[in-house]
Amino acid sequence: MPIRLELGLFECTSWYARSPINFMSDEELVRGGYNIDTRFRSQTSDLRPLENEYQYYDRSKDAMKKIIELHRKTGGTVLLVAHAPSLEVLTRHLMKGQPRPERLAELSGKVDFCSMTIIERESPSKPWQFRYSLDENANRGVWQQQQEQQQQQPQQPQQPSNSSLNHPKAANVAIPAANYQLQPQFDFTNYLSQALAAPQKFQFHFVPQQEAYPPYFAL
Amino acid sequence: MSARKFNSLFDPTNFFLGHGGRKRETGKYEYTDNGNDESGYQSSSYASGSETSDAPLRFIIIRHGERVDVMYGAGWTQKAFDQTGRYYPFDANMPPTLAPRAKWIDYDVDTPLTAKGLTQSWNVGNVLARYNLPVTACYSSPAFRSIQTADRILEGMGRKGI
Repeated sequence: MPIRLELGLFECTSWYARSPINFMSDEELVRGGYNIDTRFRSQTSDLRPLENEYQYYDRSKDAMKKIIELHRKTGGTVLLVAHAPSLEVLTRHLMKGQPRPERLAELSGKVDFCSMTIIERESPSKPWQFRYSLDENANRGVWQQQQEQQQQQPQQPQQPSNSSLNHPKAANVAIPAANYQLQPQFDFTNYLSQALAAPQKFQFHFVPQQEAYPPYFAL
Repeated sequence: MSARKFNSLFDPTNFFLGHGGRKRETGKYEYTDNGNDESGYQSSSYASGSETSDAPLRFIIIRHGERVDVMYGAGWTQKAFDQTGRYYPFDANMPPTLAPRAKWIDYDVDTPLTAKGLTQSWNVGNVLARYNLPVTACYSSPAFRSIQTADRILEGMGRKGI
């Protein structure tokens, strides 16, 4: 699947004021072995240099609206790979929240590498909802239950592995760097049986919503 | 670095002057080009769902993996590249290779992932596939660390090439 490069997913540009960033060209990326969708044109035409955090929220909202429009009819699961604040700025308006630029750096500073938020809606007429479990069946009944738990114990994660948040480096140092090269080709049935047979070395834990920051899955 | 340089980076006029590669092309100029191709990007060519009004839509929004500059500090490129621009990793957690780019010094601000970051990302894709969350489209920030993360996630899903 080719990767679509979307300028609107980039971070707040004022955070790069001291050292402007020169993105790699499509040609360089393709030559480097990356599968880039060179037919796709970024839905955000240009970034305002030195935009503040409020403008960053605004630009992210617009980018998200455009991407939603591209997939409104067909639906599906769309992967957006971006930055720590993206979990907040791309979802805030969908959850009817107001921008909170003054707290953005602090709130997103807690988001570790490869943390992810999943947001979904059943149809264009239904509201957006965060996902509270990676398991689709568990998610349906569980999310409401978790919201109740959350009101009672706002600090408690679903699994008691919150320590990896405090010690991000300790999360998965045990995975050897060459591990991925040794894995067999992806095969769904293969992995299903593996998942049942062996304990998973690599697992996300759930970080519940705190201070209305999106709930997310962290390593 | 000057604001002028930053401006030129995002200035869409570069597009017409033909300066390859220092910007991302824009959406609004291209809409007319696609006039004959209604099915193009208005509705995803990757999505498998039928076009009904009940089209469940899901976004997985993810931060990139572990970045080199956080591990080795600003200026790490000075140690990792020689005069001719050849890359020599100086630690086991550095990426084994790096894609050539116009100015290697740009890797200083537009940082790549560490070896661990690459593995993390592959594993994320593997886990998402295991939870039956294969993606139908993939967007990335133009930052290299995000592109690398997207690339490895898709590879971990077995969907890089398809």
